[in-house]
Amino acid sequence: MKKLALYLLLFGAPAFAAFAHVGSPNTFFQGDAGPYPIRAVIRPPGAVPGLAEISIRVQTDDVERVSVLPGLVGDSAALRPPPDEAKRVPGEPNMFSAELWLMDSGAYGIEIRVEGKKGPATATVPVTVASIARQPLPAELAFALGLAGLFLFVAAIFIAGKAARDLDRSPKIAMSGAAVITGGMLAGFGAWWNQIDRDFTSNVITKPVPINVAARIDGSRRVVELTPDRDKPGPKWSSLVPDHGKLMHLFLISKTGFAHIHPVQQGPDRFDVIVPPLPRGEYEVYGDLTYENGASQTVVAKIALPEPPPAGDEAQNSPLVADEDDSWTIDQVKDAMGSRVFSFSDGVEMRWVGSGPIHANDENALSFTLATKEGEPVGIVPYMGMLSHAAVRRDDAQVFVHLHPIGTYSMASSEVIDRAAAPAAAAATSTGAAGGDEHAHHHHHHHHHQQRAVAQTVSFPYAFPSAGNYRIWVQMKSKDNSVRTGIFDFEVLGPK
Amino acid sequence: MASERETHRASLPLSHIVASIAVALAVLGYLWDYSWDATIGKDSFWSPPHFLSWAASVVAGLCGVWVLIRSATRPIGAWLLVWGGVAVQAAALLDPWWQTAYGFHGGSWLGPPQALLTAGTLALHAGALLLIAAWQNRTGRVSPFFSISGGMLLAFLVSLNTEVAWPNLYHTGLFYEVMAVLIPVALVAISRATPNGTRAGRWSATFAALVYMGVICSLVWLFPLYPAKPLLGPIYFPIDHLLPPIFPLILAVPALAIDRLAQKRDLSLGTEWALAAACGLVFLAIFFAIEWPFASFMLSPSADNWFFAGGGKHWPFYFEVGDGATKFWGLTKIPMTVGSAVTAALLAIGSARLGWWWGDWMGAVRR
Repeated sequence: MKKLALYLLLFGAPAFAAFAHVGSPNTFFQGDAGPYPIRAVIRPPGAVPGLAEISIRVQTDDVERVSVLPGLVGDSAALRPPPDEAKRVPGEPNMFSAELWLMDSGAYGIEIRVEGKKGPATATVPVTVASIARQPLPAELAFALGLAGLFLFVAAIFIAGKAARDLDRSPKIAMSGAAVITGGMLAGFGAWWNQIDRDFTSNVITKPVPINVAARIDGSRRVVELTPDRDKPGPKWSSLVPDHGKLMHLFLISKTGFAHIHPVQQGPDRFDVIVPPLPRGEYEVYGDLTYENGASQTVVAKIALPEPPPAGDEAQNSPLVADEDDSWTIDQVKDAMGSRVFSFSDGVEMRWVGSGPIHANDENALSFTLATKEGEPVGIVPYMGMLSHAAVRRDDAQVFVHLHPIGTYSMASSEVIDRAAAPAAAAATSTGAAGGDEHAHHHHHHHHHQQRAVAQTVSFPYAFPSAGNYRIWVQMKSKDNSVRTGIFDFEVLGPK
Repeated sequence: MASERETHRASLPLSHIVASIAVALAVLGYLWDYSWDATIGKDSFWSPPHFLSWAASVVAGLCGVWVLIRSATRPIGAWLLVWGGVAVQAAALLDPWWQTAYGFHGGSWLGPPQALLTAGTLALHAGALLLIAAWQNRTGRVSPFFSISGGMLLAFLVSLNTEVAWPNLYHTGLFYEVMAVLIPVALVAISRATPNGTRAGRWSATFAALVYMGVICSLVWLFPLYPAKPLLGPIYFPIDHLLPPIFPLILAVPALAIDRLAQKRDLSLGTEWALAAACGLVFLAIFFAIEWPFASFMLSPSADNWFFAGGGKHWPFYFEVGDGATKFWGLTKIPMTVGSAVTAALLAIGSARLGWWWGDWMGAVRR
């Protein structure tokens, strides 16, 4: 039964990283459409209504057709139009692409239908669509419009003068009148455009929502209180649904500190969270929320954490306890920018697999392994239901995203299942010492599952939205239930 | 044409005919495009209606260029065609970028690109009408293309009304205010511009109104014969044929009254103001007297047939109309009140006066 539950957990739930990010709107999906494993990237339009680009890689060879269909969460099937056929991408085996018009903002389930030798099947990818960014006006278009505007202005004056002369009236009055009227219309045109642009960038673009945060001391703990910003409109925090068991995932980030914690809802408009032992200082706060309708949102704030109070018997006013899944690290990154190895103090290393430059808009798979310095793989257990969590941030805070992996499920899941099925065997070989535990167990593992020794790789498919200097925090939970956070600083180059 | 000497047997120059037809096709393209967007939803930049309107506006602009090159007098009508052509091209360049940057918004008033398109199209109409009017004034004859262009101008002006377009809104005050602005200026101008020597000249506004009604009726009857399905979701109203336009406004009757009032020439200024005001008020009164009951008819089952395409049965796929299909809307937000009647009356007077000036100008131009 337990094995079945684990199978269902890891195979049944499609892995996706679909959040309303700061500056990072694409959705990645890896999962199964019936018997066909697929991987899809959905790039939403910059503004709605607009065109979304969908690319689907089918990971078997027996597929004949792929089609896609968008559905707004809550719509009934009667409202669905016919599906759009995705076209094969020339030169890329089993890769299909389609464009879909998405008319409204909101939470969509993009249905991907695959037809092949094993029959038809579908997978549904949740996507949140909203206006994200405004495109700049291309220089050629601006030039052409400027020329046209100039012509229209001059010609209007000329026409007015000619009309006046034809009617034996004074051309000067007519021409001045035309200049004023046409000039006014052009100025009005420009002002109207500016106003639409301002409205769009300030209201319509789904920017991360600023919230209020306040830190207080409660007994020997620091508690942060999060409340919505009353002056700004936004959805209520009363219709949230948990994501991996948590209503809110909160990240506290500074140059040296990182925490991934889980506030507890105290009421319709308040979350409280106990702050882990991070040093005092300024932190950026990023929170991920998911609403009932599937839409997700990122909230942001800045906070100055006070000095942690000394541990003592001071009474605590709040019954709040820290979530057992909270994790944090204050490891400084000792290695250089661009290093692909992060060393933990106990000799374990997290390695970023792969080399070569990273370009924006490339569908990269960011893969990480956990191994000892000698190269022995280190066992990992699920952390909040996933093999790993990662957070990516550009150094100017313009991009922040919370990622989940996809990974070679079959191998990794069987690791977990084996571990769950053989706790007695594991206990027998453990030496009980904190540091050596890992190694001893792993020798045992290594003997029995040699071909699976490389299965500790977790993979995050992700396309960086822009060039810049980034930092990624990769969290994996090792078997001793400690969450290890690897930190990597790297550069993303411009699109190829 | 190169020569200004034209005999009474001369016919309207080909360039003027082509310009008139091109402008008419541009408007037909807009009407087709609205139905396309309301039925199929999805269109590319080069969908058939877009292509028709774009090509027609290019041809109209080129007719203007042609006339400028070939004519010694470089008539203003030709300049207006060129101006309108450039404005429409600029709008066609701007609109695709605008839609990706800010999202797609339908309708004619809803943004700078649509405003530019409207200004350009109005200029194209003004140019075609002016060219034909000048020819009419030189030869003393009346061309049917004047009423044709006038009728298409009426169709374009009515299409600008996106806010209170449906018969369900004909019992609001806003509907009459909007129509009071859009229609009298055109009807009065067409009437005043044509010489009265012939029947066609005396009743030019009526003929233009009949052209408008005939063209729209043809679309009401033809579009539903073309099967089409929405290619976008969500589909709130299941439509399976190209959406017919709304049955035309019965403009022929008020146009008749305006033609009757506007026939006199060589009037004193006071009389001109009085007659222009009368045109506006008479238009509004007759228009109201016809459309108010006609709206009730359009929402009733008797209008649910191929001829009228009414009865609350034809809606864009994106309309969540529900059981409001045969009800009157806007009765609380924009009702017909004494205040709106007065506003509409004043607007109609102003619109008619503008039309009177415009018509007189067109009636005097010879080049």
